[in-house]
Amino acid sequence: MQRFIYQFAASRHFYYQTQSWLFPLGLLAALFIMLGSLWGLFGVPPDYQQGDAFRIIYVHVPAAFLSMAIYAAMGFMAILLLVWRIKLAGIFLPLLAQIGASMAFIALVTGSIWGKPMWGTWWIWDARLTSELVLLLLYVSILATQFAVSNPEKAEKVIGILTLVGLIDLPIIHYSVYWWNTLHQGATLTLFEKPKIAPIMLYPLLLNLIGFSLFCAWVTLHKARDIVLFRERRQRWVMDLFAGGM
Amino acid sequence: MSGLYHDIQDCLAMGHYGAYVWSAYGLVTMVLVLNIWAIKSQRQQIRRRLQRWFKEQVK
Repeated sequence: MQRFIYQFAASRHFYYQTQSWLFPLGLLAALFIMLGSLWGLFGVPPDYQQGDAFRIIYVHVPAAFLSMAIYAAMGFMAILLLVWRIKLAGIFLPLLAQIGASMAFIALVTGSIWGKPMWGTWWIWDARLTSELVLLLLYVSILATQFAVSNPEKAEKVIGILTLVGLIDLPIIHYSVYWWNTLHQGATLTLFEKPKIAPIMLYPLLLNLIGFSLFCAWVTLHKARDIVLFRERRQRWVMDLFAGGM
Repeated sequence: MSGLYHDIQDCLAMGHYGAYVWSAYGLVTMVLVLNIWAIKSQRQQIRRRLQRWFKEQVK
């Protein structure tokens, strides 16, 4: 495992290996998101309690899930960078924070838009909403650190430590709906239990979950490859590539 | 024809929740497009910096 990571993380190897991934990743992401959203908007009957407003679930849940999954991935990258000194992980850290912040923002705002007609309020300081807001603020502080520290490699180490400290927020978000009384409904999908949603309503949600995940991977990979190019500008292969018109 | 028109109207109205549903989906579209735009702008910026760097090396 360690050997595989080291090999893959060699910049040149990474750059050429992932070249062929970009197009299929982007295409699949677009297909899944379009299919999932259109199906969710037009191909599923309205909810018996929430009417058509429940259709917001098809963007809200994938974004909320990813905002947490991406942060967990950042925790993994932080360990790779700080313990194993894998430079590539450092490149990924701020990039993951960018897309993670986008996802947390989508989750909060779509949740707010959903909350207005269902709960009668845009916002309430309850456990789930507050802990998700803390996650967005963590992302923002990580991005601010990136801009504040001028040496990018130093910035990545600081971000790594910050990420590890912030990991404590993930279980709080996850269990907030069980630990405290909250307006927020419980989890719709859990790993081992039967989903609390009718199968016909579940399929578009799964499509969008996959689609959003692929989209995040696609965006991050795109950016990471370009940064690798700049970081390795002193290497022969980058010079050759650049001379050839990039 | 008017029947079809009616159906589309109904469909877009989302049972009076149209404003909420469409603004949520609109916002998501905006954020996703912004992220795609960010790929492009970062690429251009890096290309410019690389060009400048290589020029300095040649000197």
